[in-house]
Amino acid sequence: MSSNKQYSGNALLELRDVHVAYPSRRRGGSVARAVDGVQLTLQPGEIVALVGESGCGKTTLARAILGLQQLSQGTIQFDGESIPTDAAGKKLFRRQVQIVFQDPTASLNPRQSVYEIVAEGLRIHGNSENEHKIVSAALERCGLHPADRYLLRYPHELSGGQRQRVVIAGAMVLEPRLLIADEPVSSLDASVRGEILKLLQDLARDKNMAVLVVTHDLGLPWNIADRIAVMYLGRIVEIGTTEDVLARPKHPYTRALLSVVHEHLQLEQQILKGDTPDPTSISRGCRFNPRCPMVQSGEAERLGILQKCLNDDPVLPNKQNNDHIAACHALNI
Amino acid sequence: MIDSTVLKVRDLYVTYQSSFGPVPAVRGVDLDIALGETLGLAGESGCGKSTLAMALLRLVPPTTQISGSILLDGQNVLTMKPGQLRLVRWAQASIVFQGAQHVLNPVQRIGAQIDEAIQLHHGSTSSTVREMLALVGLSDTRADDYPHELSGGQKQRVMIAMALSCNPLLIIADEPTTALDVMVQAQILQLLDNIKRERGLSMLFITHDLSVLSHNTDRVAVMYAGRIVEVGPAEELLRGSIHPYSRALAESFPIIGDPKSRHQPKGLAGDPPDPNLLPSGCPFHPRCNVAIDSCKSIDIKLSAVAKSVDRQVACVHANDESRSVK
Repeated sequence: MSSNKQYSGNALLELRDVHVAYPSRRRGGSVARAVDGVQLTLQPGEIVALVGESGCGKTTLARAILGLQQLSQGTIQFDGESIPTDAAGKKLFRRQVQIVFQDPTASLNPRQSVYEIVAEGLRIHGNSENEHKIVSAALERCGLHPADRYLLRYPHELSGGQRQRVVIAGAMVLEPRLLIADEPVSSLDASVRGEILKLLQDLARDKNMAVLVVTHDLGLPWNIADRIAVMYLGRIVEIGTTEDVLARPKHPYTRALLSVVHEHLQLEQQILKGDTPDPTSISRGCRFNPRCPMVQSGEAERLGILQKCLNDDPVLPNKQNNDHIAACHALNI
Repeated sequence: MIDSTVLKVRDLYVTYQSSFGPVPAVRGVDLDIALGETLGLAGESGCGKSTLAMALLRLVPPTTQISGSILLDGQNVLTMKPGQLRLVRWAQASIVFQGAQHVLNPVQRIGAQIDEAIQLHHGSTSSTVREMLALVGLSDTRADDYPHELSGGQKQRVMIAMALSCNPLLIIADEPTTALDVMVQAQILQLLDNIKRERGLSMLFITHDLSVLSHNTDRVAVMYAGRIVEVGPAEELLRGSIHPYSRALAESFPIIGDPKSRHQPKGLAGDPPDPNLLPSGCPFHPRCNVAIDSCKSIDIKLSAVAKSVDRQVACVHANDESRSVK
């Protein structure tokens, strides 16, 4: 699948100016702006990686797309319509959007057999005809064959990789149109990692299913994603095709992230100081300015953009689907 | 001639006792770490790498059987009396564990936790808590903080300060960056690198992530099913692995920008073997794509490779022409 493919028709998922704020537990405490103005579209069959540090809001965004988190502003449209709020509408929506979490051991009920786990979705959605056949087919499609050998096993009898396959099979029986995978391989062993990624890629191709992969690992999008969105403090700061973003990063944050990945040897290491930033106190101007190497090295001043960096919040330019864009003042000189 | 080997492990076996019988976790490991050298130890969960690390300081359950020899600065750790062992732990070799949040005492100020080790070994060191905090890049006001007031990266810095507090010769770092974010991980690796160079420390760096090893280690050993299957200079091994397992491990972390790995995630079918039910012959043969019939019955020992002085590989194909060292 070429990542430069032309998309036709409507987007499957469209996020416009999405905000999610968590109120402080204390009175008068500051609000955490976990997601702070995100635009994103996903086409059917497309794999998009959402990359960022912990605390950047990527998991909150995933929850918002699933309808598990109320938006404080903005809209999310699935297949051209808003995410339903009534019970019947929600049920239909959830059949089409499934999630795979990071830790398969935590997401499986230890008292359910593999068969019960995978069949649960079918039962909830009232599709009990051919249950055995559908469950077996889903398991085999996810690399657990022959399925009969696994049906009656319990999670503790499986390895980490096998458990994640069961989780994916449970998501796939409902034939979702969108799969959200939140760090699907980060708790798995290195050798299993590639196998699970390959499975996700194959499923997306065969079923024309869109996948949003949330990850902090930049090698993952190089392996499977068509596009990458880099998130920093609640905002997407750079987005484009995987090749564009990873080979020619535009935003200084993306460049710094890439420079510390040891598989990427072309960039000089730029280790950002300090801890992951705090969404309760997003700085004025560009949200990246307290850690930005261009501000710290004086390069922003030389370019005459320092005042903008400190005072104006840069926005992502309007774009076509595959354009490579970033929200940085240095790009508009 | 003065022997510059800080750690010399010979024929080490570590066997746990479980209700299902003995579990061989480490099965005949030889290791050498020279003064100022960093050895990376890579492998998947369950391969025995953490057991090996713990056994080096005899930090294993009392029923565990250990045999072979572990020479730390010339003294055999396995035959030491408890008092002598206590002097060696922390003062000669110390451990930086993974997941600092589970290792630090949550109800004790971090200054006191660092001080504890110094107090126990006083005489052998003159460093103070303040110096140790400065060394790892924390301000000395942090000494009064409790662990929950620190971020993950800061807690890992405290762990490193504790490990260094008694001036050890050898640091055993067991997945020191695994639970951390990419950027914080880079900060910690840089810190360890600087300290190592300034103090001329030796280090055993254990990880499952081969990509971390290329920049931070001199030599790398790859472990599978309780044994070392390949060892050699870091760059050489990571770029041209000879053992099919090390190759699969290296390939599972793509090189960003390399067209060969674009849309081609690579993994290794199957799962690591259960130490209770090791396959016959070479324990890797059920997952190996180049196994031949004899692999099912003959377990090849780790031995030197014809083409490279510093490489050792445990594979029947180690000296095949087609697998020449790059």
